[in-house]
Amino acid sequence: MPEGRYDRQLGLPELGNGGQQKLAAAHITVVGAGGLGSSLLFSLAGIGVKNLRIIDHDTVSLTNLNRQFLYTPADIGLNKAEQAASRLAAYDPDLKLEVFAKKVDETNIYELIEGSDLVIICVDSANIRYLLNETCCRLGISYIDGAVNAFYGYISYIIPRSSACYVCQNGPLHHVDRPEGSRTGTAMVLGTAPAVIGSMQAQLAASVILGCSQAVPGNRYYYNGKDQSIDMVRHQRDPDCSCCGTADLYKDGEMGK
Amino acid sequence: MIIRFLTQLADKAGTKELELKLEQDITDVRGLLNRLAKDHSSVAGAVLSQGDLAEDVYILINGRHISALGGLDSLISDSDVLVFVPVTEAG
Repeated sequence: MPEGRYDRQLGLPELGNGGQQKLAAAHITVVGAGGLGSSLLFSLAGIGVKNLRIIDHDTVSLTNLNRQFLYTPADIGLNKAEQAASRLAAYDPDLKLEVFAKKVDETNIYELIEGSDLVIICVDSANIRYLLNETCCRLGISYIDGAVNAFYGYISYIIPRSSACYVCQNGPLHHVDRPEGSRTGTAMVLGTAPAVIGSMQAQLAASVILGCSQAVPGNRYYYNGKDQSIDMVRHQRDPDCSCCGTADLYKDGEMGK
Repeated sequence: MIIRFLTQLADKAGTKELELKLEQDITDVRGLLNRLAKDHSSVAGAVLSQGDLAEDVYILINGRHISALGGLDSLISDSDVLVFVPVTEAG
């Protein structure tokens, strides 16, 4: 670890007593390197998280550049995960980066998130959120969710089978199932909103790794970018949840049936 | 009962919170939505579409999604806290 790089945070008691080593040792998987992922990844790399797995099958387009600060016009047409890794490696050459330029689906999701200490969800697909939630619940991996719309967004920290999960929060998949991208593909988002929410996800991740998070697992924290308020919304775990409840209707890959 | 509106729903409704005393004939969410449509036009404009719950809005009762409680037939009382939540999915 280069001397001096983290001097401005090592004076914090949460960092100085082994905390910096906790950040450096954590293995974090980031699913989605778009608007949320841009500020999240830079923030995590900045504070000294060294082991980052980046998953995104998508390519950079001109319409991404209002909010996806990892990329430049020269990246248009290139894979996001690979370009993100390239940019982050220049920012911190000590990073250990794993890149998966793959679309997450039921056939590869275990391989993609297995071994993670924490998963951070930055995707724009409800179906993928459900799939990640189900897999994290099965593998017992805690995760941080986040999403945006217009001037607004939320973050949430989920501990499988302890807190409310995404299904407890949102209802079962059939409740909201819709064709891929039908709602979010062209969602209107002010470019600063995902920067705020991605940074909040990073701050929450840091607090979780350092063991000083006071966020209530399973609850959501909604940010209003117009009046700058943050409202906590309580979510109770559903004992009959189809994912994290005792019924477990997700067995044998029959997700949502 | 306390009714909360989040983010863009609060902007549209013109309020973050509404306190209502339920009339005796309103016992479920469906009845409440009907009352909102009748007596609270700005709130109804934020959360309803043609009299039904808007597709991009869901409801929590005391922290539980109504799909786990009985949907629009979920029972409510004056001591409940009900939250209208906008679907938020972009990344």
